[in-house]
Amino acid sequence: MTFERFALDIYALSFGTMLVQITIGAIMAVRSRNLVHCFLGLVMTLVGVAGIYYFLGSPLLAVMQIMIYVGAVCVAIAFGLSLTRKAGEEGLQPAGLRGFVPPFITLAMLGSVLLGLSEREWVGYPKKIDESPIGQMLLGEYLLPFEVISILLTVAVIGAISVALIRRRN
Amino acid sequence: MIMEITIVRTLLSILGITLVVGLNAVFVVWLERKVAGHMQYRLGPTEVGPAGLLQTVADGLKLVSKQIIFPRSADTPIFILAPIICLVPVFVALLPVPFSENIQAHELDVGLLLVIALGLLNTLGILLAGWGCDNKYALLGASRAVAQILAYKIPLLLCILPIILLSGTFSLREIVVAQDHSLWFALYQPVAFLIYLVAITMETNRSPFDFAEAESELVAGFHTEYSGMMFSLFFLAEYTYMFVAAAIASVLFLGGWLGPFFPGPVWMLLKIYFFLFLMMWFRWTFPRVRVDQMLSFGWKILLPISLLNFLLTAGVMAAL
Repeated sequence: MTFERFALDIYALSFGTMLVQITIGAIMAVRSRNLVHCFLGLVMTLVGVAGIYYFLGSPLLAVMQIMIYVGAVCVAIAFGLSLTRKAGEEGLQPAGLRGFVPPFITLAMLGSVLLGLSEREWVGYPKKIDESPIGQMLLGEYLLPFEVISILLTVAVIGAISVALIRRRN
Repeated sequence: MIMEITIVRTLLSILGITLVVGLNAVFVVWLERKVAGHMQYRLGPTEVGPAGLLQTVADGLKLVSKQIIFPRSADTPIFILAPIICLVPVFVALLPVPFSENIQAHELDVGLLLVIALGLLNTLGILLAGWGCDNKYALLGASRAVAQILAYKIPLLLCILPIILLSGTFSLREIVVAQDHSLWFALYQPVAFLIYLVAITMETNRSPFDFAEAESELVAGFHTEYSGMMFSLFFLAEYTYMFVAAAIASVLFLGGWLGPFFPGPVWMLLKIYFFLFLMMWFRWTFPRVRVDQMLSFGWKILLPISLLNFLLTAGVMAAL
């Protein structure tokens, strides 16, 4: 049983590393005064969340997390950053009093999540989930919301283009 | 017992992937110099080892012994992280690549998606490299890399979709198996195959689309400030990425390990190096196009054609 013990330890260690990475990334994204460091923190957190998905038995969600959030959203943010700001420019200092609000909200949310989860059963080693129903449900039961979201995105893209065109004309 | 096998398997996979990454880089750098040489009526490296085969090893030793220079105004953590962020994703992207029916590091049913997603992380590394070293040429190269990713990634995905329709799976292994009893998918999807070839040339930052480096206009672009081993990490990442892209191309379109006479891995490697040779051929034949030409080519030509191709495939498959 030593090998099983060893594997579980490795599993716990990797899971813990992901948690640490998410937390450090989140703090960096909020606290850093350098925009590029904030961006790096955001990427770290998103990749860490992908890792959590993988460890909880859903590789599809993990890959989608990387593809959509890191690949698309972060690259779009980066594109915006490289167009608007000089690299490494310092931002504004945050107001002192408002700094107490985020820790309070964080603690409140953490407490409520832990309270909600305390009734559940704890599993040490989750099994892989069958992900094929996701696709079938998206194109079956949830077809209307799926289509509505894609129309919304199209509208957003057209809106962005028209705003950019108006700016350019002026 | 199963645990022991899992752990040994994991260690073997890591060892195998490291070997593939290292040996491929050594071989491809040599091949690139030989191909470049012969295309320009030169010989290329000849002195070190038989036919100059050990030239890359000697170059590697030189690079290891060189000093790494940190620019004073560079953002040191990002400067150090950038080459690592470039290299790690391509390392992981080798996981789901099947070299034969039973040689594969890790069978994932979303293998193809994983490789595509990790390809996006590679661009992020280039971007951070450009930002981190506080150099305007590097920053220009990085912002070009980001503009480029938007131009090729959508046609690339639209070329892969017909293959997924034909094979009905995201698993690289299953895609090859699906080609066992039919023709190779390149014959069903010639348009997608050609667009995919162009898109991977763009994706791996190879000439004629090497805007992020563009040594004649940007002084080597995003890796201008890197020296020694950190510089060679970028090249290790680039050549491994070429290997991965070529492997995916042969899995999707040329039937992966399938082929007569030789065992599977031989066919797989032959096909991979066929694609790598093609990419070198492009590099030493075509001049670099302009950035705006590349962007309009990606958005106005590749995207509509690949979209039409996808719709046509879906229509024909629905009709059958």
